[in-house]
This record gives sequence, C-alpha cells and structure tokens, in this order.
Amino acid sequence: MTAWPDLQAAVAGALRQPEEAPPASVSKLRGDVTANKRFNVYRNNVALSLINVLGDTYPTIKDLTGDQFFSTMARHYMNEHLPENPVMLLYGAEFAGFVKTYQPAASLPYLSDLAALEWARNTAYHGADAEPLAITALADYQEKDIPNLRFAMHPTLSLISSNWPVVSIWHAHQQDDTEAALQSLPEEGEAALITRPHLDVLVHPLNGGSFVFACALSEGAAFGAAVEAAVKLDPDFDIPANLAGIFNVGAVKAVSLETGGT
Amino acid sequence: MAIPHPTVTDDQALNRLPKRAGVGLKSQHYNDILIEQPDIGWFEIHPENYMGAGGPPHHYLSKIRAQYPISLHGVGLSIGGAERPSSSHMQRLKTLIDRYQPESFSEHLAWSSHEAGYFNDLLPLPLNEETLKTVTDHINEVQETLGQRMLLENPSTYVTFDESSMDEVEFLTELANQTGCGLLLDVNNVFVSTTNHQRDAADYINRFPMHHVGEIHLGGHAPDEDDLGNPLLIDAHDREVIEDVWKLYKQAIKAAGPVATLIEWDNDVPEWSALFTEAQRAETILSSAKAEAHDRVA
Repeated sequence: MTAWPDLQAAVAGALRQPEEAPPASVSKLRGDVTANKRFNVYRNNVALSLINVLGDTYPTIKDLTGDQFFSTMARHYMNEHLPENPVMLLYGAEFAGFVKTYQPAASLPYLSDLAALEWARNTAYHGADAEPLAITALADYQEKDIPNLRFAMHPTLSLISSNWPVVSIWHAHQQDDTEAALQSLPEEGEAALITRPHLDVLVHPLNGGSFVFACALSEGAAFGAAVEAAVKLDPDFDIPANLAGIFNVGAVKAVSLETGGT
Repeated sequence: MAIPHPTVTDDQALNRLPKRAGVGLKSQHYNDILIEQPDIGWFEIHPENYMGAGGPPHHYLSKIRAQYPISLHGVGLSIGGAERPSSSHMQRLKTLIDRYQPESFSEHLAWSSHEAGYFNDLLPLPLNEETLKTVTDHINEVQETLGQRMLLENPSTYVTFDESSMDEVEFLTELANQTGCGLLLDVNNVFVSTTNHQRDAADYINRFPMHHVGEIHLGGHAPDEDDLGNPLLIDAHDREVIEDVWKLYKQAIKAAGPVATLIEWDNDVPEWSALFTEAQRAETILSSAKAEAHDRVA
C-alpha cells in the first residue's frame, strides 16, 4: 500500500502525462482493465478549465487565432506553466512571452504584443481601486515648481508599445465587423496607455512622444525631465495637451514636490 | 486521541446562513440582482474569484453583500492533499472573510495543489486512517487560522483507490467528530459518486450524519460511460438538477429538517430568471419542511 504523499505525487505526475496509464492502485475496474476513461475525467477537467481561464483573459487572441489553435496553444502553455496558486484571475502572466516563442504562431509576429495588451487590461481590471487626481490639483503649486513635480501613477496603469499596430488590431476585434476594421490598419507600430480609473478598463492610443512622457513619469522622473525626454524624441511634443491628457485619462493618483536628494 | 468537539446544540453554530434557498453568484447576473432585488435567501461565491486587489468583482460583491447573506465556498485550499494547506492562500481567505464577514465558509474533501502547482480541479484522495489524520490536521489548522468553523463538502469522484479502507460517510463523520467542522452535503455529488461506484444513493443519505450538516448543494451533471461501458456521471454544474437528485434532496430534508440549500450552475450559465426558478423549487421544499417542523412543535 502506497503512502498518501507518494501516491499523490504519482497521481499529480500522471495528470500531466496524458500518454501514461494512471497509477496502478487507482480504479482497477475488472481484471486488468484500467480506468483510463475515468482518470481522464480529471485530466480533461484540469486542461479544459485552464484553457477556459486563458480564453477569458485573452479573448482577442482566442478570437484571432480560432478556438482550436488557441486551445492547443493554451494546452502547451499550461504544460509549461501550471498555475502557482489558486487565484485564476491572475493566471497567464507569462503568456505573452510564451506566445513569442511558440513556433506555430511564428507567422503572427504581433500576437505576443497583443497578448501583452490583453494582460495589461486584465491587471487593470483586477488592480487596486483608487480615485484619480484631477488636474486642478496643480493649482496648489507655484508655476516655478511644476517641473519638479513627481507623479504617483494610478495603480491600474500599464504602458505598452509594439512594432505592430496592436492597438488597432485589438480595437478591430471589439467591433461588430472585425474584418472591415482590419482593412484599414496603420502601417507603423503603436503604443497605448491602459488604466481603469473607475469600473471600465480604458485603452488610450499614444504617439511616440506621449508614450515616452508617460513612461518617464511612471518610472518616477520629475515632470520637467519627462518633458525633456519626450521633446528629444518628438520636437513637436505638445506639453499642455499631454499634461492635460495624462490627468484626463485618470492615470494620475497623486503629485508631490521633489524634495531634493536624487 | 480524538479531540473533544464543541457541543452542537443546534445547527446555528455550524453557520449563520438562513435556512432558505440560495444560488451561486455569477458575474452575468450582477445587474439583474441589483435591479430586481429578488427575494432569495443568500448567495454563494468562490472566494478565489474575488482575490484581485479591486475592480468590478469587489464593486458588485460589496453592493450585493450589503443586501444578502453570503457564503464563501473555497475551491483552492487543497485540504485533502498530503501537504499542509498553503498559508498564503489561508491569508487571502482571511482577508476576504474580514472584509465581507460571510455567514459561512466551506471547502471540499479533495486536493488541488501539489509541488508542480495548482491543478484547478477537485482531485480525489484515498480514504483511510492515514488520510483521516492528515485531513483532520488540515481542518484544525484552517479553522484556527480563519478563526471560525468551516463546512466540508463530500466530493464527486470518478476513480477509487486500492488504498481506501474507509467508507466516505464514515470518513466525513469521523472528521466532523474530531474537528468540530460541519458538513456540506452535496446531494448531486452523492448521486454522481454512488452511480459512478455502483453504490446506493438513498442508503448514503440514510447513513449521513445530518446533525453535522449546515448546508446542502444541488446541481446538474453530465452523463458519460467508463472504459467498460458503465455509467460515468460528470459533475458539470452546467444544467438543471435532475428528478432523481430532487428525490434524494427531499429524503435528506426529511431527515435533516430545513437546511440552507444552494443551486450550483457554473457553466453554460442560464438567464437569471431560469436560475431563480430552480432556486424556487428548493425554497418550496424547504417551506413545507419548515411547516412540518412547526406543526410537530405546535
């Protein structure tokens, strides 16, 4: 008789090896008939439930690749990345990285960045709630101090950029007529700011300068330094419009004056 | 040595759910519930679905919880595993319990985690003296950490183990006696498991220690066949409760008296009205049980 820790290890191993027979002591039916079909109920439950979790988190990837392709890809992901804990809301964090190396998807080079966008939407959906700061809060500061302001960004904020027009591709898949929307994709890459100021997750496309500006702020740069970085990339960077924009999308949680040091 | 369990004078001590019908709370129904404010006893949630930091799930749950009793029915503690339940997962549960103050917390006689990770399914264990000791220790630890009594649910199973030497009813009774936990009798699971292992469902209900039961579950299952062509039922929660299961439910209520009863419908989730109708059927059975109990007293 096998002790439970060893038996459990054998069952756990067999669950991950669909080709193998279940452990010998599990459900012998009659004589030497093994209960493969019975054991496979568990294998199927594990695989299908995790494929469904990934499909819920990555609906656009699923829509774009089709049910069958997506299921196979998700099954491979699951084999490499079994969840680390029971919080399925946050399962699939490494999916974008996995998709990049998944050979059957090599003909869809934008797929990994699209997965990163969907993951950003998922983390924004489940991220901590916070009331966004209104731009009127800047009235508390003197004009000379504005360049030294540092921004605490909203906890649901993500910034993504891609060499492909992934924001337009994602957007097309939210339309009733996806095919028509996909006909007019831009040629160049795209970036986006993703956040959830209240209940709805919002995806805002950003141009190059605005992306650099938002990244610098979220990495802790002072406002003046963030503007400098943006202007370096885009000499036409519109400072007032971008300052208003970052507040209007609800991406700022707090501002504070730099107090020296670094 | 068996630990003396708290004296249960009435099942109020097992949980604080009303002895009415409830349903599993699905995100598809948030708005229907908030608009219609249906007359339903309570809602059950899987706490794992509310373990994000914020967002719409907490927004809606807070609103619904303000108006209805709720039960936290965990699927991730892996109480039946050889390893101790994860302390980080117990902390997540504790955080939710502190926030929402549910009327009940329950889990399953099953395991879901192993060294390799989390399998997202309720997996089977052999029932014997060794696993009885293991599960007893785990329940004691969970109850101590969460600071409350829990209910443990009988599982749907598809396989058996040569290592099993105890009957499931006997095993659950011992667990309840030794830990003071209550039991959650899933009548559909009784039907599924007894069919799958060619046992008698009515006899299982007959032998079940009803004084430990704090909640009953009802759900739908999917029929299949095993390797020999014998019936193999799958606990799918994707359809109505079948008549045979309603019959067993009436038998259980007759023996136990009115008990908080849940309709589980987690996949192919129907319109709110269909789920509510299914719950009304349980409510009617509970009402007549309450009337009978009242008549006996009067």
